[in-house]
Amino acid sequence: MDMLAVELGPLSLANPILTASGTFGGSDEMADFFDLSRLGAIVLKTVTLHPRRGNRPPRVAETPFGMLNSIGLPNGGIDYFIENQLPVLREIPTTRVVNVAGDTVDQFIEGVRRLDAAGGMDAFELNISCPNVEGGRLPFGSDPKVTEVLVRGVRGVTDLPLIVKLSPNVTDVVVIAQAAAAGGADVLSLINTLLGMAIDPRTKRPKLGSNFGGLSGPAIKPVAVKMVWEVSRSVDLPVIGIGGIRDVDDVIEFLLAGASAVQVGTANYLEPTVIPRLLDELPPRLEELGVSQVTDLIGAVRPFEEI
Amino acid sequence: MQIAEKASVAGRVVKYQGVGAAVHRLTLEVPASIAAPDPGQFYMLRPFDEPLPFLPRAFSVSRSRLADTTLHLDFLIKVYGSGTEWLCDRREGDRVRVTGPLGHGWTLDSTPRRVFLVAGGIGLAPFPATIDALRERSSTVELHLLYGARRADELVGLDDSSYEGVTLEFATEDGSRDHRGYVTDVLAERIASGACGPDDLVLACGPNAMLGAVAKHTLPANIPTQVAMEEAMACGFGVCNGCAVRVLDSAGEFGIYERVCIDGPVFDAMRVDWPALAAIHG
Repeated sequence: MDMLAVELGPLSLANPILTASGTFGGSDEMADFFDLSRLGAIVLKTVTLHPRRGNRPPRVAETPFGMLNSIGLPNGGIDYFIENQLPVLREIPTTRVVNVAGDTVDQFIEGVRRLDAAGGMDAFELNISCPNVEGGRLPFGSDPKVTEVLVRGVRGVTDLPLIVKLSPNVTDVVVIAQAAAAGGADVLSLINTLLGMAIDPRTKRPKLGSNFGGLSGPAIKPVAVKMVWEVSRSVDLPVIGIGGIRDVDDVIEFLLAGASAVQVGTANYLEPTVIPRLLDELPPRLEELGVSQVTDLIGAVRPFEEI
Repeated sequence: MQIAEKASVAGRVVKYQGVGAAVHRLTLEVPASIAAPDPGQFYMLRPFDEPLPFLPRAFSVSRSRLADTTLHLDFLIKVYGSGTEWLCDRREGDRVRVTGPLGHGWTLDSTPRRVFLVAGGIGLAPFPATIDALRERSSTVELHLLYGARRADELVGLDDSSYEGVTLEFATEDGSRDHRGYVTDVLAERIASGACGPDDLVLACGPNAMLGAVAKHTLPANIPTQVAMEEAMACGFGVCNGCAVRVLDSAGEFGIYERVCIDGPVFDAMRVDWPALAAIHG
Protein backbone atom coordinates (compact mmCIF):
# COMPACT_ATOMS: atom_id res chain seq x y z
CA MET A 1 0.00 0.00 0.00
CA ASP A 2 1.16 3.52 -0.77
CA MET A 3 2.57 5.17 2.34
CA LEU A 4 0.20 8.14 1.96
CA ALA A 5 -3.09 6.25 1.48
CA VAL A 6 -5.75 6.80 4.15
CA GLU A 7 -9.27 5.57 4.86
CA LEU A 8 -11.83 8.18 5.76
CA GLY A 9 -14.79 6.09 6.86
CA PRO A 10 -16.26 4.79 3.61
CA LEU A 11 -13.83 6.84 1.50
CA SER A 12 -10.43 5.52 0.42
CA LEU A 13 -8.09 8.39 -0.44
CA ALA A 14 -4.73 8.23 -2.22
CA ASN A 15 -3.35 10.71 0.28
CA PRO A 16 -4.55 12.69 3.29
CA ILE A 17 -4.44 16.19 1.77
CA LEU A 18 -7.73 17.74 0.69
CA THR A 19 -8.75 21.25 -0.26
CA ALA A 20 -10.84 23.30 2.16
CA SER A 21 -14.20 24.47 0.89
CA GLY A 22 -14.30 28.06 -0.27
CA THR A 23 -10.59 28.32 -0.99
CA PHE A 24 -10.26 26.28 -4.15
CA GLY A 25 -13.07 27.38 -6.43
CA GLY A 26 -16.23 25.75 -7.68
CA SER A 27 -14.78 23.31 -10.20
CA ASP A 28 -11.36 23.24 -11.90
CA GLU A 29 -10.25 26.88 -11.45
CA MET A 30 -6.92 25.74 -9.96
CA ALA A 31 -6.03 23.35 -12.80
CA ASP A 32 -3.65 25.93 -14.33
CA PHE A 33 -1.45 25.68 -11.24
CA PHE A 34 -1.08 21.91 -10.85
CA ASP A 35 -2.48 18.51 -11.76
CA LEU A 36 -5.65 18.21 -9.67
CA SER A 37 -5.44 14.39 -9.75
CA ARG A 38 -2.77 14.75 -7.07
CA LEU A 39 -5.34 15.90 -4.50
CA GLY A 40 -6.44 13.44 -1.84
CA ALA A 41 -9.86 14.93 -2.53
CA ILE A 42 -11.21 18.15 -3.95
CA VAL A 43 -13.75 19.92 -1.75
CA LEU A 44 -15.59 22.65 -3.62
CA LYS A 45 -16.98 26.00 -2.57
CA THR A 46 -20.34 25.85 -0.80
CA VAL A 47 -23.43 25.57 -2.98
CA THR A 48 -26.89 26.51 -1.75
CA LEU A 49 -30.33 25.62 -3.08
CA HIS A 50 -30.94 29.18 -4.27
CA PRO A 51 -28.40 31.57 -5.82
CA ARG A 52 -26.62 33.93 -3.45
CA ARG A 53 -24.99 37.24 -4.31
CA GLY A 54 -22.58 37.35 -1.40
CA ASN A 55 -21.79 40.04 1.15
CA ARG A 56 -20.99 43.70 0.93
CA PRO A 57 -17.27 44.41 0.34
CA PRO A 58 -14.65 44.66 1.67
CA ARG A 59 -14.81 40.93 2.17
CA VAL A 60 -11.25 40.12 3.21
CA ALA A 61 -8.69 41.70 5.52
CA GLU A 62 -5.25 40.60 6.59
CA THR A 63 -4.71 40.03 10.31
CA PRO A 64 -1.65 38.80 12.25
CA PHE A 65 -0.70 35.42 10.71
CA GLY A 66 -4.09 35.06 9.10
CA MET A 67 -7.02 36.77 7.52
CA LEU A 68 -10.65 37.63 8.15
CA ASN A 69 -13.29 36.96 5.54
CA SER A 70 -16.96 37.59 5.15
CA ILE A 71 -17.72 36.38 1.65
CA GLY A 72 -21.35 35.34 2.15
CA LEU A 73 -21.33 32.10 0.14
CA PRO A 74 -21.89 33.64 -3.31
CA ASN A 75 -22.90 30.90 -5.74
CA GLY A 76 -25.27 30.34 -8.61
CA GLY A 77 -27.48 27.86 -6.75
CA ILE A 78 -27.70 24.09 -7.04
CA ASP A 79 -29.41 23.94 -10.44
CA TYR A 80 -26.73 26.22 -11.90
CA PHE A 81 -24.06 24.08 -10.22
CA ILE A 82 -25.49 20.87 -11.70
CA GLU A 83 -25.63 22.36 -15.18
CA ASN A 84 -22.33 24.27 -15.26
CA GLN A 85 -19.90 23.08 -12.61
CA LEU A 86 -20.73 19.42 -12.11
CA PRO A 87 -19.79 18.39 -15.70
CA VAL A 88 -16.32 19.91 -15.11
CA LEU A 89 -16.04 18.33 -11.65
CA ARG A 90 -16.84 14.88 -13.08
CA GLU A 91 -13.68 15.10 -15.21
CA ILE A 92 -11.35 15.74 -12.26
CA PRO A 93 -9.75 12.37 -11.48
CA THR A 94 -9.80 12.47 -7.70
CA THR A 95 -12.33 12.05 -4.90
CA ARG A 96 -14.92 14.80 -5.38
CA VAL A 97 -16.70 16.39 -2.43
CA VAL A 98 -19.53 18.89 -2.83
CA ASN A 99 -20.02 21.25 0.11
CA VAL A 100 -23.65 22.22 0.76
CA ALA A 101 -25.35 24.84 2.94
CA GLY A 102 -28.86 26.20 3.34
CA ASP A 103 -31.01 28.71 5.19
CA THR A 104 -33.29 25.95 6.51
CA VAL A 105 -33.04 22.23 7.22
CA ASP A 106 -35.31 21.60 4.23
CA GLN A 107 -32.99 23.55 1.92
CA PHE A 108 -30.09 21.32 2.96
CA ILE A 109 -32.17 18.20 2.33
CA GLU A 110 -33.55 19.38 -1.02
CA GLY A 111 -30.10 20.55 -2.14
CA VAL A 112 -28.43 17.24 -1.36
CA ARG A 113 -31.35 15.31 -2.89
CA ARG A 114 -30.96 17.15 -6.21
CA LEU A 115 -27.19 16.81 -6.23
CA ASP A 116 -27.35 13.11 -5.37
CA ALA A 117 -29.84 12.55 -8.21
CA ALA A 118 -27.51 14.36 -10.62
CA GLY A 119 -24.55 12.20 -9.53
CA GLY A 120 -20.86 12.70 -10.20
CA MET A 121 -19.67 13.44 -6.69
CA ASP A 122 -18.21 10.97 -4.17
CA ALA A 123 -19.28 12.62 -0.92
CA PHE A 124 -21.02 15.61 0.58
CA GLU A 125 -19.71 18.01 3.17
CA LEU A 126 -22.35 19.93 5.13
CA ASN A 127 -21.49 23.51 6.06
CA ILE A 128 -23.47 23.86 9.28
CA SER A 129 -21.84 27.15 10.31
CA CYS A 130 -24.34 29.23 8.34
CA PRO A 131 -27.30 30.92 10.10
CA ASN A 132 -30.52 28.95 10.55
CA VAL A 133 -33.21 31.35 9.29
CA GLU A 134 -35.95 29.34 11.09
CA GLY A 135 -33.96 29.27 14.31
CA GLY A 136 -33.40 32.93 15.09
CA ARG A 137 -30.47 33.02 12.66
CA LEU A 138 -28.31 31.07 15.11
CA PRO A 139 -25.90 28.83 13.21
CA PHE A 140 -27.20 25.27 12.73
CA GLY A 141 -23.93 23.98 14.10
CA SER A 142 -24.24 25.77 17.44
CA ASP A 143 -27.19 23.65 18.60
CA PRO A 144 -26.77 19.87 19.06
CA LYS A 145 -30.47 19.12 18.50
CA VAL A 146 -30.64 21.12 15.26
CA THR A 147 -27.38 19.54 14.12
CA GLU A 148 -28.72 16.04 14.67
CA VAL A 149 -32.03 16.77 12.93
CA LEU A 150 -30.22 18.36 9.99
CA VAL A 151 -27.74 15.52 9.53
CA ARG A 152 -30.43 12.86 9.92
CA GLY A 153 -32.59 14.62 7.34
CA VAL A 154 -29.79 14.76 4.81
CA ARG A 155 -28.79 11.18 5.65
CA GLY A 156 -32.27 10.15 4.50
CA VAL A 157 -31.78 11.38 0.94
CA THR A 158 -28.31 10.14 0.04
CA ASP A 159 -26.22 7.01 0.41
CA LEU A 160 -23.00 8.91 -0.30
CA PRO A 161 -20.61 9.56 2.59
CA LEU A 162 -21.57 12.59 4.68
CA ILE A 163 -18.88 14.82 6.08
CA VAL A 164 -20.13 17.33 8.65
CA LYS A 165 -17.97 20.46 8.98
CA LEU A 166 -18.01 21.76 12.53
CA SER A 167 -17.83 25.35 13.73
CA PRO A 168 -15.41 26.29 16.51
CA ASN A 169 -17.77 29.06 17.66
CA VAL A 170 -19.48 26.87 20.26
CA THR A 171 -19.14 26.20 23.97
CA ASP A 172 -18.30 22.51 23.53
CA VAL A 173 -17.47 21.20 20.08
CA VAL A 174 -17.61 17.59 21.33
CA VAL A 175 -21.35 17.89 22.03
CA ILE A 176 -21.97 19.05 18.46
CA ALA A 177 -19.69 16.32 17.09
CA GLN A 178 -21.66 13.69 19.00
CA ALA A 179 -24.92 15.12 17.66
CA ALA A 180 -23.61 14.92 14.08
CA ALA A 181 -22.55 11.33 14.71
CA ALA A 182 -25.98 10.49 16.15
CA GLY A 183 -27.59 12.00 13.04
CA GLY A 184 -25.62 9.65 10.81
CA ALA A 185 -22.46 11.54 9.80
CA ASP A 186 -19.64 9.38 8.38
CA VAL A 187 -16.82 11.87 8.85
CA LEU A 188 -16.32 15.11 10.80
CA SER A 189 -14.24 17.99 9.48
CA LEU A 190 -13.07 20.79 11.74
CA ILE A 191 -12.62 23.64 12.21
CA ASN A 192 -14.49 26.23 10.18
CA THR A 193 -13.37 29.84 10.75
CA LEU A 194 -13.36 31.50 14.17
CA LEU A 195 -15.49 34.63 14.44
CA GLY A 196 -13.41 37.78 14.56
CA MET A 197 -13.33 41.51 13.89
CA ALA A 198 -10.76 44.12 12.93
CA ILE A 199 -11.14 47.92 12.88
CA ASP A 200 -9.21 50.52 10.88
CA PRO A 201 -8.05 53.23 13.31
CA ARG A 202 -7.90 55.84 10.54
CA THR A 203 -11.49 55.46 9.35
CA LYS A 204 -13.00 53.94 12.53
CA ARG A 205 -14.65 51.47 10.16
CA PRO A 206 -14.57 47.70 10.56
CA LYS A 207 -12.21 46.24 7.98
CA LEU A 208 -15.00 43.99 6.67
CA GLY A 209 -18.21 45.24 5.05
CA SER A 210 -20.20 42.84 7.28
CA ASN A 211 -18.41 44.32 10.32
CA PHE A 212 -17.12 40.91 11.45
CA GLY A 213 -16.23 37.65 9.81
CA GLY A 214 -14.31 34.41 10.02
CA LEU A 215 -10.65 34.15 10.96
CA SER A 216 -8.45 31.64 9.15
CA GLY A 217 -4.77 30.92 8.62
CA PRO A 218 -1.91 29.93 10.93
CA ALA A 219 -3.36 32.19 13.66
CA ILE A 220 -6.09 29.60 14.35
CA LYS A 221 -4.00 26.43 14.06
CA PRO A 222 -3.54 25.75 17.80
CA VAL A 223 -7.28 26.15 18.38
CA ALA A 224 -7.96 23.68 15.58
CA VAL A 225 -5.40 21.14 16.76
CA LYS A 226 -6.91 21.15 20.25
CA MET A 227 -10.46 20.70 18.93
CA VAL A 228 -9.37 17.87 16.62
CA TRP A 229 -7.68 16.19 19.57
CA GLU A 230 -10.81 16.51 21.75
CA VAL A 231 -13.26 15.37 19.08
CA SER A 232 -11.19 12.46 17.77
CA ARG A 233 -10.88 11.07 21.31
CA SER A 234 -14.57 11.45 22.09
CA VAL A 235 -16.37 10.47 18.90
CA ASP A 236 -15.92 7.22 17.00
CA LEU A 237 -15.76 8.82 13.55
CA PRO A 238 -12.80 9.75 11.36
CA VAL A 239 -11.86 13.40 11.57
CA ILE A 240 -10.47 15.79 8.95
CA GLY A 241 -8.30 18.50 10.51
CA ILE A 242 -8.55 22.06 9.16
CA GLY A 243 -6.93 25.29 10.31
CA GLY A 244 -3.79 27.13 9.26
CA ILE A 245 -1.96 24.29 7.51
CA ARG A 246 0.93 25.58 5.41
CA ASP A 247 3.85 23.25 6.09
CA VAL A 248 4.41 19.52 6.20
CA ASP A 249 4.80 19.53 9.98
CA ASP A 250 1.40 21.21 10.26
CA VAL A 251 -0.07 18.19 8.45
CA ILE A 252 1.75 15.84 10.80
CA GLU A 253 0.59 17.81 13.85
CA PHE A 254 -3.08 17.38 12.89
CA LEU A 255 -2.58 13.66 12.21
CA LEU A 256 -0.91 13.20 15.59
CA ALA A 257 -3.82 15.04 17.22
CA GLY A 258 -6.18 12.45 15.75
CA ALA A 259 -7.08 13.59 12.25
CA SER A 260 -7.13 10.96 9.49
CA ALA A 261 -6.72 13.63 6.82
CA VAL A 262 -6.43 17.40 6.53
CA GLN A 263 -7.82 20.22 4.43
CA VAL A 264 -5.64 23.08 3.25
CA GLY A 265 -7.45 26.40 2.88
CA THR A 266 -6.03 29.88 3.26
CA ALA A 267 -2.54 28.71 2.21
CA ASN A 268 -3.89 28.19 -1.32
CA TYR A 269 -4.17 31.97 -1.60
CA LEU A 270 -0.56 32.54 -0.58
CA GLU A 271 0.85 29.69 -2.58
CA PRO A 272 -1.49 28.08 -5.13
CA THR A 273 0.91 25.16 -5.42
CA VAL A 274 1.06 24.50 -1.66
CA ILE A 275 -0.74 21.14 -1.86
CA PRO A 276 1.63 19.50 -4.39
CA ARG A 277 4.54 20.88 -2.36
CA LEU A 278 3.17 19.29 0.82
CA LEU A 279 2.65 16.00 -1.06
CA ASP A 280 6.28 16.13 -2.26
CA GLU A 281 7.58 16.92 1.21
CA LEU A 282 5.47 14.45 3.19
CA PRO A 283 7.13 11.10 2.25
CA PRO A 284 10.71 12.22 3.02
CA ARG A 285 9.51 13.82 6.25
CA LEU A 286 7.78 10.55 7.25
CA GLU A 287 11.01 8.67 6.56
CA GLU A 288 12.94 11.16 8.68
CA LEU A 289 10.50 10.50 11.52
CA GLY A 290 10.82 6.74 11.05
CA VAL A 291 7.20 6.35 9.99
CA SER A 292 6.40 3.87 7.21
CA GLN A 293 2.70 4.65 6.80
CA VAL A 294 1.01 8.01 7.25
CA THR A 295 -1.78 6.15 9.09
CA ASP A 296 0.70 5.27 11.85
CA LEU A 297 0.61 8.94 12.87
CA ILE A 298 -3.16 9.20 13.33
CA GLY A 299 -3.85 9.95 16.98
CA ALA A 300 -0.27 9.03 17.92
CA VAL A 301 0.25 12.12 20.08
CA ARG A 302 1.77 11.18 23.45
CA PRO A 303 -0.18 13.40 25.84
CA PHE A 304 1.33 14.12 29.24
CA GLU A 305 -0.24 12.45 32.27
CA GLU A 306 -1.18 14.44 35.32
CA ILE A 307 1.52 14.22 37.99
CA MET B 1 7.74 25.00 -25.47
CA GLN B 2 4.40 24.63 -23.68
CA ILE B 3 3.30 28.07 -22.46
CA ALA B 4 1.31 28.15 -19.23
CA GLU B 5 -1.51 30.67 -19.18
CA LYS B 6 -0.61 31.46 -15.59
CA ALA B 7 1.64 29.99 -12.91
CA SER B 8 2.97 30.53 -9.39
CA VAL B 9 6.76 30.46 -9.29
CA ALA B 10 9.87 31.82 -7.60
CA GLY B 11 10.74 35.05 -9.38
CA ARG B 12 14.19 36.59 -9.03
CA VAL B 13 14.83 40.30 -8.66
CA VAL B 14 17.07 41.28 -11.59
CA LYS B 15 16.88 45.02 -11.18
CA TYR B 16 15.92 47.39 -8.44
CA GLN B 17 15.67 51.14 -8.83
CA GLY B 18 14.28 53.78 -6.52
CA VAL B 19 12.52 56.44 -8.57
CA GLY B 20 11.69 58.83 -5.70
CA ALA B 21 8.72 59.62 -3.49
CA ALA B 22 8.75 56.10 -1.96
CA VAL B 23 8.21 54.63 -5.43
CA HIS B 24 10.39 51.80 -6.63
CA ARG B 25 10.81 49.98 -9.91
CA LEU B 26 11.35 46.27 -9.51
CA THR B 27 12.19 43.94 -12.39
CA LEU B 28 11.42 40.30 -11.70
CA GLU B 29 12.59 37.39 -13.80
CA VAL B 30 10.32 34.37 -14.30
CA PRO B 31 10.57 31.46 -16.76
CA ALA B 32 9.49 32.28 -20.31
CA SER B 33 7.33 29.16 -20.19
CA ILE B 34 4.72 31.39 -18.54
CA ALA B 35 2.61 33.59 -20.82
CA ALA B 36 3.65 37.23 -21.19
CA PRO B 37 1.07 39.59 -19.66
CA ASP B 38 -1.45 41.65 -21.62
CA PRO B 39 -1.40 45.37 -20.79
CA GLY B 40 -3.51 45.93 -17.67
CA GLN B 41 -3.05 42.42 -16.30
CA PHE B 42 -1.56 41.98 -12.83
CA TYR B 43 0.47 39.64 -10.64
CA MET B 44 0.23 38.63 -6.99
CA LEU B 45 3.54 39.12 -5.18
CA ARG B 46 4.65 37.97 -1.71
CA PRO B 47 7.73 36.45 -0.06
CA PHE B 48 8.68 33.13 -1.61
CA ASP B 49 9.29 31.21 1.60
CA GLU B 50 8.83 33.60 4.50
CA PRO B 51 5.62 33.61 6.53
CA LEU B 52 5.08 37.39 6.48
CA PRO B 53 3.78 39.60 4.95
CA PHE B 54 0.98 37.04 4.95
CA LEU B 55 -1.29 37.65 1.98
CA PRO B 56 0.09 38.35 -1.49
CA ARG B 57 -0.48 41.84 -2.91
CA ALA B 58 -1.77 42.65 -6.40
CA PHE B 59 0.39 44.75 -8.75
CA SER B 60 -0.25 45.85 -12.31
CA VAL B 61 2.68 45.02 -14.54
CA SER B 62 4.27 48.05 -16.24
CA ARG B 63 5.79 46.09 -19.11
CA SER B 64 7.36 42.74 -19.89
CA ARG B 65 10.08 41.59 -22.26
CA LEU B 66 11.52 38.26 -23.24
CA ALA B 67 15.17 37.83 -22.25
CA ASP B 68 16.48 34.53 -23.60
CA THR B 69 14.60 31.77 -21.73
CA THR B 70 13.22 34.15 -19.17
CA LEU B 71 10.54 36.77 -19.02
CA HIS B 72 11.30 40.09 -17.33
CA LEU B 73 8.42 41.84 -15.58
CA ASP B 74 8.66 45.51 -14.55
CA PHE B 75 6.61 46.74 -11.62
CA LEU B 76 6.19 50.24 -10.25
CA ILE B 77 5.51 49.96 -6.52
CA LYS B 78 4.82 52.61 -3.90
CA VAL B 79 5.53 51.86 -0.26
CA TYR B 80 2.18 51.96 1.53
CA GLY B 81 2.07 49.13 4.09
CA SER B 82 3.93 46.01 5.18
CA GLY B 83 3.58 44.17 1.85
CA THR B 84 4.91 47.00 -0.30
CA GLU B 85 7.60 47.76 2.29
CA TRP B 86 8.86 44.17 2.07
CA LEU B 87 8.85 44.25 -1.73
CA CYS B 88 10.69 47.55 -1.94
CA ASP B 89 13.41 46.19 0.36
CA ARG B 90 14.25 43.47 -2.21
CA ARG B 91 17.50 43.73 -4.12
CA GLU B 92 19.09 41.95 -7.09
CA GLY B 93 19.05 38.16 -6.62
CA ASP B 94 16.28 38.06 -3.97
CA ARG B 95 13.37 35.70 -4.48
CA VAL B 96 9.72 36.73 -4.67
CA ARG B 97 6.70 34.48 -5.19
CA VAL B 98 5.14 35.60 -8.46
CA THR B 99 1.65 34.39 -9.39
CA GLY B 100 0.22 35.41 -12.74
CA PRO B 101 -0.44 36.87 -15.20
CA LEU B 102 -3.93 37.41 -13.81
CA GLY B 103 -7.20 39.06 -14.80
CA HIS B 104 -8.37 40.82 -17.93
CA GLY B 105 -6.45 43.85 -19.11
CA TRP B 106 -7.60 46.74 -21.32
CA THR B 107 -9.84 46.02 -24.31
CA LEU B 108 -7.98 47.73 -27.14
CA ASP B 109 -9.92 46.46 -30.15
CA SER B 110 -11.38 49.80 -31.26
CA THR B 111 -9.30 52.37 -33.14
CA PRO B 112 -9.85 55.65 -31.34
CA ARG B 113 -8.34 58.87 -32.67
CA ARG B 114 -7.10 59.94 -29.27
CA VAL B 115 -6.53 58.00 -26.08
CA PHE B 116 -6.52 59.77 -22.72
CA LEU B 117 -4.62 57.83 -20.10
CA VAL B 118 -5.64 59.07 -16.66
CA ALA B 119 -3.31 58.12 -13.81
CA GLY B 120 -3.71 58.87 -10.11
CA GLY B 121 -0.43 58.43 -8.20
CA ILE B 122 0.87 54.89 -8.49
CA GLY B 123 -2.00 54.26 -10.95
CA LEU B 124 0.62 55.18 -13.55
CA ALA B 125 1.98 51.64 -13.22
CA PRO B 126 0.26 49.82 -16.14
CA PHE B 127 0.67 52.55 -18.76
CA PRO B 128 4.04 51.81 -20.44
CA ALA B 129 2.84 48.46 -21.87
CA THR B 130 -0.54 50.04 -22.58
CA ILE B 131 1.06 52.82 -24.66
CA ASP B 132 3.21 50.31 -26.56
CA ALA B 133 0.14 48.20 -27.34
CA LEU B 134 -1.85 51.24 -28.53
CA ARG B 135 0.98 52.29 -30.85
CA GLU B 136 1.27 48.76 -32.20
CA ARG B 137 -2.40 48.90 -33.17
CA SER B 138 -2.29 52.37 -34.70
CA SER B 139 0.64 54.50 -35.84
CA THR B 140 -1.50 57.64 -35.85
CA VAL B 141 -3.16 57.39 -32.44
CA GLU B 142 -2.74 60.57 -30.40
CA LEU B 143 -1.79 59.81 -26.81
CA HIS B 144 -2.42 62.04 -23.80
CA LEU B 145 -1.35 61.22 -20.27
CA LEU B 146 -3.16 63.10 -17.52
CA TYR B 147 -1.21 62.40 -14.35
CA GLY B 148 -2.23 63.56 -10.92
CA ALA B 149 -0.65 63.40 -7.48
CA ARG B 150 -0.73 65.31 -4.21
CA ARG B 151 2.56 67.14 -4.88
CA ALA B 152 4.96 67.69 -7.80
CA ASP B 153 7.64 65.46 -6.25
CA GLU B 154 5.20 62.53 -6.33
CA LEU B 155 4.88 62.73 -10.12
CA VAL B 156 7.49 60.02 -10.66
CA GLY B 157 7.96 57.09 -13.03
CA LEU B 158 8.00 58.99 -16.30
CA ASP B 159 11.64 58.01 -17.00
CA ASP B 160 10.43 55.42 -19.50
CA SER B 161 10.89 55.62 -23.26
CA SER B 162 7.22 54.76 -23.84
CA TYR B 163 6.24 58.24 -22.67
CA GLU B 164 8.25 59.89 -25.50
CA GLY B 165 5.79 61.52 -27.86
CA VAL B 166 2.93 61.33 -25.37
CA THR B 167 1.35 64.69 -24.47
CA LEU B 168 1.81 65.03 -20.72
CA GLU B 169 -0.42 67.09 -18.46
CA PHE B 170 -0.19 67.21 -14.71
CA ALA B 171 -2.38 68.04 -11.75
CA THR B 172 -1.25 68.41 -8.16
CA GLU B 173 -3.46 68.91 -5.15
CA ASP B 174 -1.12 71.60 -3.75
CA GLY B 175 -0.61 73.32 -7.09
CA SER B 176 3.14 72.66 -7.11
CA ARG B 177 2.99 71.62 -10.76
CA ASP B 178 0.55 72.67 -13.46
CA HIS B 179 -3.13 72.41 -12.56
CA ARG B 180 -3.98 72.86 -8.89
CA GLY B 181 -6.57 70.24 -7.99
CA TYR B 182 -7.49 66.84 -9.30
CA VAL B 183 -6.42 65.21 -12.54
CA THR B 184 -10.10 64.63 -13.23
CA ASP B 185 -10.57 68.45 -13.37
CA VAL B 186 -8.16 68.46 -16.30
CA LEU B 187 -10.11 65.67 -17.97
CA ALA B 188 -13.38 67.59 -17.40
CA GLU B 189 -11.85 70.68 -19.05
CA ARG B 190 -10.82 68.65 -22.10
CA ILE B 191 -14.32 67.22 -22.37
CA ALA B 192 -15.92 70.68 -21.99
CA SER B 193 -13.70 72.12 -24.73
CA GLY B 194 -14.38 69.22 -27.08
CA ALA B 195 -10.77 68.03 -26.98
CA CYS B 196 -11.97 64.66 -25.65
CA GLY B 197 -15.13 63.19 -27.09
CA PRO B 198 -17.10 60.10 -28.09
CA ASP B 199 -14.57 59.07 -30.78
CA ASP B 200 -11.79 58.94 -28.19
CA LEU B 201 -10.98 56.44 -25.46
CA VAL B 202 -10.29 57.02 -21.77
CA LEU B 203 -8.25 54.47 -19.81
CA ALA B 204 -7.98 55.24 -16.10
CA CYS B 205 -6.03 53.72 -13.25
CA GLY B 206 -5.89 55.08 -9.71
CA PRO B 207 -7.83 55.19 -6.45
CA ASN B 208 -11.49 54.18 -6.71
CA ALA B 209 -12.63 57.73 -5.88
CA MET B 210 -10.64 59.03 -8.85
CA LEU B 211 -12.10 56.36 -11.12
CA GLY B 212 -15.59 57.37 -9.99
CA ALA B 213 -14.81 61.01 -10.84
CA VAL B 214 -13.52 59.96 -14.27
CA ALA B 215 -16.77 58.07 -14.95
CA LYS B 216 -18.83 61.05 -13.72
CA HIS B 217 -17.28 63.23 -16.43
CA THR B 218 -16.91 60.76 -19.32
CA LEU B 219 -20.13 58.75 -19.20
CA PRO B 220 -22.57 61.68 -19.71
CA ALA B 221 -20.37 62.72 -22.67
CA ASN B 222 -20.59 59.20 -24.17
CA ILE B 223 -16.83 58.73 -24.10
CA PRO B 224 -15.79 55.06 -24.01
CA THR B 225 -14.09 54.57 -20.65
CA GLN B 226 -12.27 51.67 -19.08
CA VAL B 227 -11.14 51.67 -15.45
CA ALA B 228 -8.57 49.44 -13.77
CA MET B 229 -10.02 48.82 -10.32
CA GLU B 230 -8.70 47.67 -6.99
CA GLU B 231 -10.41 45.94 -4.08
CA ALA B 232 -9.16 44.00 -1.08
CA MET B 233 -8.10 40.65 -2.50
CA ALA B 234 -6.68 37.46 -0.98
CA CYS B 235 -5.93 35.11 -3.88
CA GLY B 236 -5.97 37.04 -7.18
CA PHE B 237 -7.18 34.12 -9.28
CA GLY B 238 -10.89 33.89 -8.59
CA VAL B 239 -11.26 31.41 -5.76
CA CYS B 240 -11.53 33.51 -2.58
CA ASN B 241 -14.35 35.74 -3.88
CA GLY B 242 -12.98 38.57 -1.76
CA CYS B 243 -12.58 41.32 -4.35
CA ALA B 244 -16.24 41.89 -5.15
CA VAL B 245 -17.37 44.95 -7.08
CA ARG B 246 -21.02 45.69 -7.75
CA VAL B 247 -21.85 45.88 -11.45
CA LEU B 248 -24.76 45.85 -13.88
CA ASP B 249 -26.33 42.46 -14.48
CA SER B 250 -27.49 41.26 -17.90
CA ALA B 251 -30.85 42.99 -17.39
CA GLY B 252 -29.07 46.31 -16.91
CA GLU B 253 -29.77 46.49 -13.17
CA PHE B 254 -27.07 47.08 -10.59
CA GLY B 255 -27.12 44.15 -8.27
CA ILE B 256 -24.58 41.49 -9.00
CA TYR B 257 -21.04 41.27 -7.79
CA GLU B 258 -18.15 40.43 -10.05
CA ARG B 259 -14.59 39.74 -9.01
CA VAL B 260 -11.97 42.39 -9.66
CA CYS B 261 -9.36 39.64 -10.05
CA ILE B 262 -10.85 37.59 -12.87
CA ASP B 263 -13.77 39.60 -14.23
CA GLY B 264 -11.49 42.69 -14.06
CA PRO B 265 -9.33 44.38 -13.00
CA VAL B 266 -10.33 46.44 -16.05
CA PHE B 267 -14.06 47.18 -16.25
CA ASP B 268 -16.12 49.22 -18.67
CA ALA B 269 -16.93 52.27 -16.52
CA MET B 270 -20.55 52.02 -17.65
CA ARG B 271 -20.97 48.70 -15.83
CA VAL B 272 -19.73 49.81 -12.41
CA ASP B 273 -22.18 50.79 -9.67
CA TRP B 274 -20.32 53.97 -8.69
CA PRO B 275 -22.67 55.11 -5.87
CA ALA B 276 -22.38 51.66 -4.23
CA LEU B 277 -18.61 51.81 -4.54
CA ALA B 278 -18.51 55.27 -2.98
CA ALA B 279 -20.73 54.05 -0.11
CA ILE B 280 -18.50 51.04 0.52
CA HIS B 281 -15.36 53.12 0.68
CA GLY B 282 -16.95 56.06 2.47
